[in-house]
Amino acid sequence: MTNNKIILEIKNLNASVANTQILKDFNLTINMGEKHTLMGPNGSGKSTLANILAGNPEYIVDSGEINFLGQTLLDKAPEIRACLGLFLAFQYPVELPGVRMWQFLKSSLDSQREYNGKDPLSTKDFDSILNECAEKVDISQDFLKRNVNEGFSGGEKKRNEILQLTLINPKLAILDETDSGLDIDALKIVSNGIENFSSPNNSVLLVTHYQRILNYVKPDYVHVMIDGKIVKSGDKSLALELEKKGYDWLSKK
Amino acid sequence: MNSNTNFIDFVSKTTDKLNSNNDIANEFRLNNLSKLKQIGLPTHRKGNEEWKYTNLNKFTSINYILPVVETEDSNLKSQELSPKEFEVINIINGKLSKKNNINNSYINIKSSSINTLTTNELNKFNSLLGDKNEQMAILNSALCTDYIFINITGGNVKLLINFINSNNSENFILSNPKVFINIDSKSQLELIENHYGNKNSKYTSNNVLEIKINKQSNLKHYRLLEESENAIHTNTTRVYLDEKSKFKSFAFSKGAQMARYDLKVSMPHEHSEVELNGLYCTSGKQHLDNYINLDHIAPHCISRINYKGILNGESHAIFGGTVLVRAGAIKTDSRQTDKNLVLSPKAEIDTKPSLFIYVDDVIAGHGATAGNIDEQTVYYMRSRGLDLETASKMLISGFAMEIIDKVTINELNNYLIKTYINTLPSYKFDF
Ligand SMILES: Nc1ncnc2c1ncn2[C@@H]1O[C@H](COP(=O)(O)OP(=O)(O)O)[C@@H](O)[C@H]1O
Ligand SMILES: [Mg+2]
Repeated sequence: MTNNKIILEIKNLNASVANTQILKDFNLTINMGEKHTLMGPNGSGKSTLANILAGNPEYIVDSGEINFLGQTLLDKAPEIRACLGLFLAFQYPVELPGVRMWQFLKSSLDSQREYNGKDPLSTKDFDSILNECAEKVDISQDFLKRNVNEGFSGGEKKRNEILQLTLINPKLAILDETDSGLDIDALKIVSNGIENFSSPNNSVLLVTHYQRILNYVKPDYVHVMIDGKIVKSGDKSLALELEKKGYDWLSKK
Repeated sequence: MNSNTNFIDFVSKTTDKLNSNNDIANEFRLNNLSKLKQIGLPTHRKGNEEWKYTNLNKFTSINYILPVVETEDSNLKSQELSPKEFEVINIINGKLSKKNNINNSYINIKSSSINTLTTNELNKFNSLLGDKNEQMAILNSALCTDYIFINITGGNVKLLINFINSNNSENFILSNPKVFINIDSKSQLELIENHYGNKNSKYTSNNVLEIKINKQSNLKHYRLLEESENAIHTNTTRVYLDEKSKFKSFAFSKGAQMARYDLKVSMPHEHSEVELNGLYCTSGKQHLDNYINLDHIAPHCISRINYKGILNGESHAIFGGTVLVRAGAIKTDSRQTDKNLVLSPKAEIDTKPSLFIYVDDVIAGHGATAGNIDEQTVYYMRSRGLDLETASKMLISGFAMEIIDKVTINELNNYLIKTYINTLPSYKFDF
């Protein structure tokens, strides 16, 4: 699957939020076509990493490097990172009062197209793409008329993230606990969405702290993150081991 | 001598001038003048909660000339809003235009400048909600040049009333439009109350609207405030709901240098429903005060207040919402919220929803928020490729659209999108 082209390279990254250092000499390389899973106990810094990658202004990089498709990300605004092909499915998707799904999705896609030198889609073309994507993640037409995430259930918000992933079709998808809080049907929809997205021309970083989703999404690598850095990497058998033993055996140095 | 005393002097002289032999309203005007002399105008002092944030000095310290518009003014800003199927009435500087052409037999209009009103009819003014000393309404009655009655006698009526202010001179004029609307039982009225004037025109307009909604009738009310940027606008609107009647209101406020809207709603009969929506967008040095009084007297009534503000520049907006649930008003269901987007550090909002409940068996709630655009919300949108400006515009217009979306008249909806949404400021981020 791997064609050895590096999509993301994180080197000696130190980062903090609210004046507390969270990421400590963090290193990770992801090649095109690979699926990586990042696991770890609550508070280990997984979401911090995801936010640093997407460019959340609340999170500060103190030192280190992040290269994405051969360019540094550190000096780039979140919207530029998105246009370059980086996508984050939020652990806690944000409600946008008064902003309609349709309007939001169309503008998002058009902005990204414009940045990449493409014309905006006609309403008709967009509608047919959107409808196709919505069907895949079992989101109804009624939903598309609503305000973004407003009044959505937990599961609906997560499916909405997968809808956006499907529609935007980025180069790198970072999924922050998109599996948590889902019933089995929703978990299958979300997993299908990820598996359908995944191709030799893109990569996935799946952040989770349950191995449950790995019954559906098959990762090439599993990393364990504790206290701001990766302490162990392996293949998917590592996830099963974690399931049995928990994280304690890794944190005892 | 303070500006109030000077002003009352002016009122007194003016009232004298307005009196004429063939005007049956003389006595009514004089009665109100003497009342005004007794009780004065609202003062901006400690303890006067209703007028805590609005100082009428600006209103009273002007040297006014009388509004002398007998002829129709051809320089008037052309009116862009003309929804289909709406009958139109123009009131110019407080006087009913003689050119009104109403083609709906359910609409009956009487005006003291055209018809002769009976004492009985005149006494309806100021008495709708009991004999409360409403100073601005009394001032209006003392100076009013035309007492206008509109009777809706049935059917499903759509009516646009343009309150046009016209003044090409350098001096401020003061007009006192006064309209009483009676909606007979089992009638429907959609009413657009549209206040406007030429861009820089100087005027003060002190309006009174009294609306009686009789049994099982329905009023949908849209108020548009688009006065000149020099204008001072005050408005006392009183609404009385009879049994099983409904009042749904939208107050869209944008124009005027200074404005005060007093909306008093009384629910003395069972099973009536009130929904008050508002959107105010302020900028520059505007001062805009919305003051609502809602009185739950009878059991089984429902009320909702849902106002929103977008503040920019050095403007000052005030929301005062007082809901009173009286001892007899069991099973009342009342909610009120006021939400504000404060886009500039120099803009100021004073929001004060309050609730007084004198009975146990009710559902009631109130809340207010004020904030600027949330950085994490914008971050979510940026992470999808939207730049700061697009994201903030989308959020600000989304905030306003929550009110505009509820407007069911197509032409009005489009008009509001054009005048409110397409002119919204973009937000200067400090991140
Ligand atoms: N926005 C924030 N403000 C303050 N502290 C934060 C913020 N985000 C994360 N943290 C702190 O950083 C640490 C790592 O959190 P997080 O990255 O969310 O962990 P995980 O996703 O692995 O559960 C925690 O101690 C958390 O409290
Ligand atoms: Mg997390």
